[in-house]
Amino acid sequence: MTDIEFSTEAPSFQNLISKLQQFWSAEGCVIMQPLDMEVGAGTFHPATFLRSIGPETWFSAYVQPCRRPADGRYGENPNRLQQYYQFQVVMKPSPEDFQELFLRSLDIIGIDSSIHDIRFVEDNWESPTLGASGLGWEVWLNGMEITQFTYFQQSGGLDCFPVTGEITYGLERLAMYIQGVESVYDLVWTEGALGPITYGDVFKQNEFEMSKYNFLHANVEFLVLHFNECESKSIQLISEKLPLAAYEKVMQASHLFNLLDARKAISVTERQRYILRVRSLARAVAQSYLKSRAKLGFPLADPKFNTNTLRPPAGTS
Amino acid sequence: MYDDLLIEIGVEELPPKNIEKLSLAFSTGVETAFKENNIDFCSVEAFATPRRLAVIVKSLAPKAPDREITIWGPPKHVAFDNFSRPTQAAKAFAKKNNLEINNLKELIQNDGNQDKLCLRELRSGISILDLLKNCINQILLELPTEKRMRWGYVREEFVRPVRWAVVLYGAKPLNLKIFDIISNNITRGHRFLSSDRIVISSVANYEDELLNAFVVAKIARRQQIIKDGADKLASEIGGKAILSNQLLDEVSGLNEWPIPLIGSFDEEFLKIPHEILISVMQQHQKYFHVIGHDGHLMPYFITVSNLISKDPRQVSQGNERVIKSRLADAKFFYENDLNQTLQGWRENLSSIIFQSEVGSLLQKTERVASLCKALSVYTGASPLLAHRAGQLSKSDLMSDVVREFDELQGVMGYYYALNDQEDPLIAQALSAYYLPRFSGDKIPSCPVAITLAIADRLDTLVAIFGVGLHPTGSKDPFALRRASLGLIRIIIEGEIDVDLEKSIELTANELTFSGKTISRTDKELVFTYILDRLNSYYKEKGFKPESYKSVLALKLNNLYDIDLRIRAIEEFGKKSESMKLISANKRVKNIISKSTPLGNSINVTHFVNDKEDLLFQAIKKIKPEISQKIKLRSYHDALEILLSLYLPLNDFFENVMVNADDESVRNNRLALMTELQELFLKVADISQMTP
Repeated sequence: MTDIEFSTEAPSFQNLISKLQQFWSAEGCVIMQPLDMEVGAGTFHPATFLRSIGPETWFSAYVQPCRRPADGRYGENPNRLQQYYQFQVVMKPSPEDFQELFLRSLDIIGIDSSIHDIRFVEDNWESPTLGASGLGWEVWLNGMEITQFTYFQQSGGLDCFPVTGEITYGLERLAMYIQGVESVYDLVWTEGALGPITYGDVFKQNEFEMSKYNFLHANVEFLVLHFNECESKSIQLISEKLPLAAYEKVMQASHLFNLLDARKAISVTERQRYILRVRSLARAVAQSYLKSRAKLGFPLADPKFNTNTLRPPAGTS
Repeated sequence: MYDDLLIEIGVEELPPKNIEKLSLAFSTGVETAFKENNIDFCSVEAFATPRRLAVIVKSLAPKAPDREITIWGPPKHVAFDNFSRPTQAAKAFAKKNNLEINNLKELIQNDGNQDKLCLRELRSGISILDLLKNCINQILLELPTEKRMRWGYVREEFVRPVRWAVVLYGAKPLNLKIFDIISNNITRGHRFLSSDRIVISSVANYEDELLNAFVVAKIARRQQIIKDGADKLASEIGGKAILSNQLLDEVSGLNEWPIPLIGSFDEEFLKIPHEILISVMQQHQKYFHVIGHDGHLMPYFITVSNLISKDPRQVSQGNERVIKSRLADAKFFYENDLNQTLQGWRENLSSIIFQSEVGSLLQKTERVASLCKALSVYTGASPLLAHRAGQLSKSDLMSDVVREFDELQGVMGYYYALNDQEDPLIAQALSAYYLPRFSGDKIPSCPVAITLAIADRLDTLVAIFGVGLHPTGSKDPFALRRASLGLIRIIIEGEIDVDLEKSIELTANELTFSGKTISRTDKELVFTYILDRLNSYYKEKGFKPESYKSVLALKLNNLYDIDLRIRAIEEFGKKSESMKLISANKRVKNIISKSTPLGNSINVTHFVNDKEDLLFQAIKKIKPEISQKIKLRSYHDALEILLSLYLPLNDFFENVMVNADDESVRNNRLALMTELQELFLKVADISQMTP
């Protein structure tokens, strides 16, 4: 099973990231750094969620650590982590050769499309908390999902126009495949002075401790209070016309909800209600953000287009 | 002159399950456009791959035929004044039709009545280029798809982004604006096996030139390649590949150049229920599974890659790696589940909402369990077992395996019930009560399963109607239509002798929410809703609508009994002699409907004509026989006996006027007719059947 043959030349984990960054940088993307807050997916980063709203253009790429408290396995499961990395690319408007660019990026990191079976398999994406949805695919590499590929249709309840194309690489999966290892903890992060440093060396203790915290020690009462606090603060910040600050509270609320979920502190009915609460915050932020950009005259809009005509077509979802 | 036309729309990968439907709608749309515009062609051929929808119209005329049009203007006396000068009316006509005023006099013709201005003009028929310019985008926008999308700066919505288009008439490229691109003669070959841009030299070469570019353009042809390849690979290991049509459709929608490959997994996994393995392979990985000669699952799978790989072994190994980790997950879930019990999971069902007003799934299982007990009288199930099956009917939804593979609900209930040492009949019922899962599926056969199947569906129907969420239009979120059709099939085909109205009553008795009980109106609505589904049930079986309408007119409420009658009537209606009786019966019904019911009984002394007496005697003779046959539900026999009435009835009509002047004679005859009609109505209202 481990004799996947390109493992000798396989890039290290950090090498993989820098190759992707170089590639997308050359395509004109703003290389952002990870958001310094807990989020469940790279889509939450303002560089995706907020930038997908309104008529402005935006090309960006970045690594985003993602936290999914309920997925923690105390460092014992070779495939599941409560914190992992996504590599996120957004291009708005989605370019004509978006798929081809993506395939070229695979080539750059050592996936030879004349050997490996790469497929785009229908998979539509929806984020109920962000009021966002899109159509696209999961990308299969010899039957394994390595990437999510989405054309945003809605964000924060607003129709997207122009449309943002989003690529989300699952870095650990991709690296495991390229390096031919069976456990995420065996991934070579880099060749250190004393020999290879593995993903396990970097994160295994963290996985164990954070699983303990997420499942056993997170204080439910405090989480609920904090959630409520974030909610009311977000609402207040919207009224102060500070959508970026309000959005930070939305992200916090969303993560607190995930923690409550991991603690199994939320019943099924309540769960739906929490999701709706976060969504209505996200919608308010989206609208406020759009207004704030309009006030600035949409500085990043393509001058070829009149921003007044760049409204989403009427009558769409 | 005539030539072939090719239209190919190049797209990013289409949803694989929809390709066939999209392709059909696209070719039909193009065909219709030419037909509606009278543009002549020979035939239409459709092609579709994940990245293209194409249609070839063979021997297509370059344009619609020219046609002469006639435009009548004002009458001569209005168009010209007394001095033969054109009036304002004539000038307006000239202006509208772009005519020289001086020439108007030459345009006078008689319309059969009077002289009028008349313009006859030969209009050139629309060219295919102009027609396509007008309609191609509309055809595409109207393709049936659940979800549409925008991309880039494109305002129109389509299934997936459109990236190129080929429109070729013979060898000549036509340039049309399709979404944001202009069509030409350049297509694209296989993503990885071919160079990117391919020029199609002429329509006739389309399929071959795509083949050279590693694209098999026809769905059926790809399916054949997949079938043959899978069969061959399976037979090499002494097995047989299982290709369901649905999966074959989907897989052929994921390839332009299908290459089936075989892979294996650890035999260790065969120890877990095979349904789980098959689910992982089919649903998640789109693999075909392989069975041995003994019919048992073999530790192999067949995947269909879209590539002539330089190293196919790596593709197989990659897939083996994925399935291994998927199966390991499934095995872990299953083994975890075995440490739990259905009874234990049942408690947790209180946190799962069935419907917010109706309550939790736990409450549903309580109602269903009681209902099972009540219904077991009719189904012949053990009330104890049926009750228990009802209680456990939703527990497996809480298992890890079902949470991961929801299509295994029921199947896992079976395994976990056995693991809990529940009665095997209960285990079977937990799986079988989901039957029929789709139209044409089998129905449950053992009494406990039948009981549970009926109870679960009735409970859903009555509860959802009770909170006013019954289906409207095409919206049916609780799948009540399917539930009703299932219920009908289970009762009829399972020959369950149960009164539907009573069953609904029993179901409603279990249901209270927000302090309310189910209203009578709602119960009647459920009843009518279910009976309405009988129409589609019998339509699908190919029965004549009159057959079931004649029985449904009796407003019976035992589905099994209704079915026996309908089948007898359907047979009856096929005989020529039945038709005469049906006409005679219609006459009887007409006579009765025109008079007010009197309710008097027949008095032999009022008979005037001996045909009256003969008919009366005939009725008297068969009446007990009919009752006997009805009691035995031998409707076929009852109808045969009714046939004997035809002759005396016919004689009666030929010799007797029902509407006699004498009131007592008339009323007596009416009573005779009523007696006769009641006899007919014991089986069905056959007057509904058109002779």
